[in-house]
Amino acid sequence: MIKACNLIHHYGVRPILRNVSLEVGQGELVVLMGANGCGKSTLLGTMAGLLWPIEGHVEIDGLQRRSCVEAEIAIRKKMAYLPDHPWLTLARTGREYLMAVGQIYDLPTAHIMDHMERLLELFHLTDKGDSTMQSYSNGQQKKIAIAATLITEAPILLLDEPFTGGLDPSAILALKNVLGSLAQREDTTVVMASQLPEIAAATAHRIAVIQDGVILHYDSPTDLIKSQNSENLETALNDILNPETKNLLKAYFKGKELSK
Amino acid sequence: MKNTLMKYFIWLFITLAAHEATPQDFFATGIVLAMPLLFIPYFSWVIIPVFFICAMITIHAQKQNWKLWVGLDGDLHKTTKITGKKEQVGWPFCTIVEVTNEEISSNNKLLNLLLSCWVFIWTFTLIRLIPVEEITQILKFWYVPVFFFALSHRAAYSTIGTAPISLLGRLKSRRFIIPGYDKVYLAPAFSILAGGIVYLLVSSLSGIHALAESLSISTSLYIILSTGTSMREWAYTGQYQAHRPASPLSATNKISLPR
Repeated sequence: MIKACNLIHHYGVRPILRNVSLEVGQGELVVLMGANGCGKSTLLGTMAGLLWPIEGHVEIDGLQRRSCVEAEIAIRKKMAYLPDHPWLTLARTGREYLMAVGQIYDLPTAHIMDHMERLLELFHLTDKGDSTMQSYSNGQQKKIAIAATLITEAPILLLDEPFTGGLDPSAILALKNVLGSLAQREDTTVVMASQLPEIAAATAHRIAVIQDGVILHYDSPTDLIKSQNSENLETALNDILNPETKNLLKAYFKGKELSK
Repeated sequence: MKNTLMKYFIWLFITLAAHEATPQDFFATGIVLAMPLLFIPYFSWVIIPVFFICAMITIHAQKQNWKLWVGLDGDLHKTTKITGKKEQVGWPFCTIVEVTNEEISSNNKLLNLLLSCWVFIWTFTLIRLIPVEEITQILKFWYVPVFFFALSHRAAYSTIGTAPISLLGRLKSRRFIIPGYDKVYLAPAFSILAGGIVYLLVSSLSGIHALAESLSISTSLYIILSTGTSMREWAYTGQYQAHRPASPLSATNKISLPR
């Protein structure tokens, strides 16, 4: 279980998180959604322990982050974080990298090797597995970073924009299905930042809609759609985040007709 | 003088015997440490080899000891042996790798004391070798090593992370002190303060500036090594923002096209 309590964070004096509180239950898949710069990555980075909030704290399974050495080590070992721009060791091959990541999570070597081959196959990287990651395209580097996060088999996964970064349609489908499968499991908690309503609708148990560092809504996709009397999640999100869009569209098309 | 030093060497040798010492470690540094003593006229030649051996052992022990202070070197990113070589795991997985630096134990503090004594002898001897007319010029720079120690401490600890708010942000938001982060400044601040106080006190009381200078530097070194939060404690409980290396993805694309 992840519990973010009254998080306040700002870069310089620019506020990013304004008293954000969020609870993610064990086995839940939560998607953070909102406009660019609204604080999704900051919230995720704070949960991942990479950022320290100005105020508030994060608890993972009842342990407060950075409260003591033993608690922090325990937290770090049960969590895997995929940043939007992962830092890969490009001089290593994909297989070496996945093995190294699997080993720091203390997984048995035979198990890592089996999982690694399945992941490489899933993301169409089997042929590239023995090439250095420097030779990978942007999309392939993103795929190997996702595979590295998945190979950890950590009970808590924090994914920052996993669907961006040049993923091809088959990789998007593969990841969507993997996340869908994880959402069915009781032992894996996933918090993901995403801009894609269709992905959120298909995978999320709950969606946190963030605007200017404040959580506006935190509901299941169905309840979110209902609350806005919308047809689907995309329009519901648009109604929450950009209510003026409908009027702007009307004005745009009205002006177009007048100019004819 | 000889007897005192002899006792010191024996005590030093016994204390450090428990630590691993390989002869190749810091051979040259050992020579450098022993060199000033050659210029002391009343110093017996017999004591030189003893002094030299002790210097090497001290330096080697400090090399082990140093790790808990310097802490995060490149090894943090290297964890596993797959093909006989250590592999890197990149960021942010490197944060999972356990920081094994130990807490600053009393044994470490003893080693730090020995090193500080060594530095005291070394600087004192060196300063005494300088002609009297040049001493005044040299003594103006007593604070250089003291500030160097403080800055080195700061640099070592900042390898893990930076302040949650910039200096400008602190001023504008009037959050002048962030206890969970600012504790990292305690050891350097205390070290500079103690160095200054020792220098002023000893120079005013004894009038021997070489003594004041040497004591100031060695005291400062001891404090910077032995006090404050340990690297391990800092890595796991410090309220810093973790460093995020520049993304190699864009950098790679600038230098080579995907094959």
